[in-house]
Amino acid sequence: MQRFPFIVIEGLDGTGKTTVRKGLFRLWEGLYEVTPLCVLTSNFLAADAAADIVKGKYQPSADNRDRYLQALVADKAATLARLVRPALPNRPVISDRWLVSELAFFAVKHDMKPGETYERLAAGITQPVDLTLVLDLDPRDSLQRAHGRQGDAVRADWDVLDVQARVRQVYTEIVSEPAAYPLLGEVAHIDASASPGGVLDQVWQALIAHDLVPSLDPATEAVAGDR
Amino acid sequence: MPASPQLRPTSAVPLHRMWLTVGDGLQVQRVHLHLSEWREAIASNTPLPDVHGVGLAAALAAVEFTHLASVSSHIDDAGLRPWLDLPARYAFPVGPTNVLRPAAMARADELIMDGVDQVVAADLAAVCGAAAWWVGFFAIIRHRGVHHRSLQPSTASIARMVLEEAAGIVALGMAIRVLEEHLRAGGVAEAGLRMAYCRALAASVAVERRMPALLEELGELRLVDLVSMAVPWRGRFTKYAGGTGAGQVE
Repeated sequence: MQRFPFIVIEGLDGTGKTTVRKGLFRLWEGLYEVTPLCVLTSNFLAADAAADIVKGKYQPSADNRDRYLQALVADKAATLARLVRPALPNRPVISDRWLVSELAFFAVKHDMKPGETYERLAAGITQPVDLTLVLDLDPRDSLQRAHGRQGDAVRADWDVLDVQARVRQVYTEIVSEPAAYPLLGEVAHIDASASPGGVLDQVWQALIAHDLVPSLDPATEAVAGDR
Repeated sequence: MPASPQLRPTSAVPLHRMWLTVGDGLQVQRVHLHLSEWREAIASNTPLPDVHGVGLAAALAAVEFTHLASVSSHIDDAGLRPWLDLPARYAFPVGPTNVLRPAAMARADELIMDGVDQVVAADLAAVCGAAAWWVGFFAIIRHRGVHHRSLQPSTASIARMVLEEAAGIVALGMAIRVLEEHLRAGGVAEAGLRMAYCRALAASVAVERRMPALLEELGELRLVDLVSMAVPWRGRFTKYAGGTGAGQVE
């Protein structure tokens, strides 16, 4: 079966995930002439789980931890069934966060080992990502960017230096042993301190390196990415 | 585990590309419809009634094509030939330099900071120079137009800097189209070209935040259509996505 890739963008708040998502969307649509579908880490497609997601994310406690995990599994399974899998035969899917951010959240807020959280999530999620892009930036810089944005994009209990430093540490641990997390697919480290254009170029090169974009060579219009 | 991706080549022309072509036709139509009006405004030799900081209309009517003879066939592939031909045919060859040209050319300079070959540079210079003329054309006849939402006569004035911003955005959009054709022709391996495209896409993301406010400041329908359809952003083709056809009653 022919299909397009499932791509995930991960990174601390303020590392440029939105710019990468929108830039990748324009790259696919403008250059490769395929319009991607963009989704988020939670899409509220499992209606019965929606309340638990909101509560578990914004009022995390020992009491709601397991319900939150179950709700995440239900929502991601619904997202895969209703959006990702139906889309991939015709277009790439780009998700703004997916699994790594959840592993970091449970590590920081509930002191769960990433491997333990992963096992719980993996029990209900069967579709692996093709490429997880991890945008890496010193949390002091990412926080400065995040707090410079308009609106209410930052949270007082999350977007502070000690928490973000811990989140980055978890990211680093996960990225250092990708084989332990096969649902992440290939993992690419992206230096998010570069200019927005430079970051997008790194992302594009990662896609090319993993044969995840069609060939633009007029002489080889045949299928790319046979592996 | 699902199979690895096996990317199929695209075959059908995507809808957004067709809408881009429809939009190109709209702009060309408008130039021909309003050419006499534009010439009269310049010949009147009086300051533009609704644009501050520009002075005479002639300051928006010139184009400077130092590289026009050396542009590549990728201009045609990108559908941009009319965007160069109309200013080449109608622009005022003498008179002041177009005051919007620096803002438009600055876009080209930003994109090629890492170096591109001379053909790419010539194409970018040509389209960015033309962008200044197109924004200038519709600015000159702006006072005869209607507001883009109310379709009532547009009476508010605008400042030169708003037009400069508009010229930069139209230049950016034309640059993106040219760069895509160079990349499709085998340029992906060229780091400077790839980087120029990535800079352009990132710039279009940055522009998106400002676009709604800028369109309100421009106000008048023809300028709003020209700028809003120039670059990728969430509101680019809402006109066509809602079922509007190619033409529009002027």
